[in-house]
Amino acid sequence: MKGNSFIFNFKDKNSIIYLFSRFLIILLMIAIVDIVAGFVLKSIITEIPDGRYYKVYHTLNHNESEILIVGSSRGERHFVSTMIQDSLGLSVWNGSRDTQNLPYIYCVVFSSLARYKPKLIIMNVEKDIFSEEMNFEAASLLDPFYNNETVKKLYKEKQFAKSIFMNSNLIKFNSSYLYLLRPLVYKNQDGRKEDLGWEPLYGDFKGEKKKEDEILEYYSYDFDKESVEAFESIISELDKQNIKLLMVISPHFNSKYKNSSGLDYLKNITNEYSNIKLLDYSQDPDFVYQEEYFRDNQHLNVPGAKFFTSKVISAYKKLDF
Amino acid sequence: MLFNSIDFLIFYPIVFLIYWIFFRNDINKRNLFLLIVSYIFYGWWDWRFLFLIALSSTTDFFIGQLIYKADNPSLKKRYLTISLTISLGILFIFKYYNFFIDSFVQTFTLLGKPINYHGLKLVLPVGISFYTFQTLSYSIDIYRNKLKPTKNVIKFFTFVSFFPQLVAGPIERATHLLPQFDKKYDFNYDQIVKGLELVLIGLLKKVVIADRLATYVDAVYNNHQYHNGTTLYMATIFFAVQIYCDFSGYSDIAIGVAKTFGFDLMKNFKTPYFAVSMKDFWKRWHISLSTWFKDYFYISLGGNRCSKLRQKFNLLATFVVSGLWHGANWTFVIWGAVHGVTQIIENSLNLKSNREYSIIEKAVRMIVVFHIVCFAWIFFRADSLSQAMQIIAKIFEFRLALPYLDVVNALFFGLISLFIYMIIDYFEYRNIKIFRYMRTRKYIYASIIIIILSIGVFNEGQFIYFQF
Repeated sequence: MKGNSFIFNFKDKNSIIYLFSRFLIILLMIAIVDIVAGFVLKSIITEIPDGRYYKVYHTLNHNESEILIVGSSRGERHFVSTMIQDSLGLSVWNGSRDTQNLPYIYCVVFSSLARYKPKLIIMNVEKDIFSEEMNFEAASLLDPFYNNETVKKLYKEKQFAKSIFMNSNLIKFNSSYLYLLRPLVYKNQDGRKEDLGWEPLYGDFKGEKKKEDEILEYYSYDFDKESVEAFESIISELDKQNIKLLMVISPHFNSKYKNSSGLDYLKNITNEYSNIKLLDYSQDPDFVYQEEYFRDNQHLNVPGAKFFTSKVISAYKKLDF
Repeated sequence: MLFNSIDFLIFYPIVFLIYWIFFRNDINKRNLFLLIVSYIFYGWWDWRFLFLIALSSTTDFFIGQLIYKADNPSLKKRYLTISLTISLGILFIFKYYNFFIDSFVQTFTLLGKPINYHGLKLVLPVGISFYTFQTLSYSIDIYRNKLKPTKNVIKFFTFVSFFPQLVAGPIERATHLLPQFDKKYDFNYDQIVKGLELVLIGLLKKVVIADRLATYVDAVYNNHQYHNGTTLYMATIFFAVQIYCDFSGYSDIAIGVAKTFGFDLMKNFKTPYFAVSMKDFWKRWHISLSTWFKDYFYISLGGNRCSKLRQKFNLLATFVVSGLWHGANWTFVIWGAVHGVTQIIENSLNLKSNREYSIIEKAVRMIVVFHIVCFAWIFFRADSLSQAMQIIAKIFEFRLALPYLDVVNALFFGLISLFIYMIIDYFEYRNIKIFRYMRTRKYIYASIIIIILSIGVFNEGQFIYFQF
């Protein structure tokens, strides 16, 4: 009996149930704040005029451009959407995002396909695209968009524990406030709408000028299983829907290796699928060690991006797609 | 298992409930339960290292009895030497062997006689320095007749592996913690709430302040060559707060969790950046380690009861070894030496007096001490001595320039974190109890949790002191 009173006696302060009742009151208070905050933040995300959250929101939920560009920061900085649009006469949206990898690309592609059928997808890829685990830490950019079915499905499959916490709006919008609210005060600080997703990088070269002592002929690495699975599911879906995919390896100021097991894999893909092509600019002498085209070792500046985009456009026109 | 992990979020409430519902009345069963859960907690990283902690516990349990029973001083000393050799031997092999071998090889290479020898491929067991020092204090205290050895093996094993403080302290003395395993505890609401308050503050310090500041610090220190002196100075200040909140956050959670089980662990930090002298800093920083070194190393060397020159040597040696305790790298040795040398200078100039200071003098002292501590942190944070020297050289150019603003989100939340740190530490310094009032405290709890959920970093970032 004493044991039961210790556990269940509501009136006794020194009982477990009393402690839990206090705990529940605090949880209730947090839940109310969470619901109100969620309501406000979700309203903001649908109303913000520009910036990174506008871009992701638009890319995942509304974009219906004929050409969709996906990738990481290199995809975002290197493909000038307006040039491609004007040259090919097709609507373009660059949905690439800084620091993102395959989880983000997977969500963009599948949420787009659930809504419409693009004519061409341009995917900025790297020779070591499969060397890291699917970068979910960086993909926390997708957290506020957890209600998107594709995002939800991916989280539940790959990050089940995290998907449980995504039921909290405060966690979903964790640390997003600056970039979420800034466009309401200062417009065009974090990407302009009229650039159609392209994020220009202004300024001169500020990277490491030293040339590589030795450029490897071949770099072999272990493929991350999850990355390969995500990539193959994208490829297979595009093939099923007969959507063209142009994979592009952007230039590096300081390319460390010429070929890799990842590059071999990508080349094999192009042999297997007629709707997939690969363009490799990683060793292009027009760019490598051309300081005037780079902002840092990985990213082209505005003149570099424009020159690169023009090269991609002319190469695309020559492709037998 | 990390305190800031989902695993612990599940582990802790389960252990808490089972502990209070089933084991509160029987001390032996309770201790056995705590031992089992502590081994689960530790084995979560790598179960193989459980053998190491069991070996260390077994050795000191039996040798402790032998030291106590030995009837002549030389035999006592011999047993103590065996205990120290085994405990420090394990620590040496896992933590320092490669460091000394590498240093040896490098020295010969510099002298033009290269040696082709590679170190061992060993993983450093988490918390080995902490639990080794805890068991050492047990043996030494028995040797010094300050403690009677326990005959209860379960109790001793639980004392060594008690999960709240196992991997990063506070390093408890057997005289303080061991008797607590003999006591029976009642479910005390107020005590448990106080423990949970500490857990909450600890989590706030870790995931909101330390891990937020780490984003900026890492961005700068990992590419230090691209940054100007202003940025490096700012990142160093951030690191000072980061490491304090990371470590004191861990200690707060450890002390808080132990409190919810009825145990009382020693306070490990007392607003160290309010220190008015270097000596004062060490009375406030990592108290369990600094008092350990004072009691078991500094005093063993002769302490203050010797010539002035010898005193200086003792002080310097204590801090150099303390630096080496942190990590097998010359950067830690220099970090310790900086603290040792500055204290020697302070003693020589008689700057450490305990008189009352005017507000201005106090502020000036705090600023100076804080900057000396930050200077030493550069060595602590840098990957190598050359990197540390490059950073120091840039900072001491004294060129005014804008700090690095590209990682605006990290900077923005870093500054918010800094502000939260200042509030927490100021309240503690002034002894203002924010949880004092019953009516308001539930709102404060809720607000802290909301801050943690809103701007905390949930990447289950490792605590810095785990590597030691």
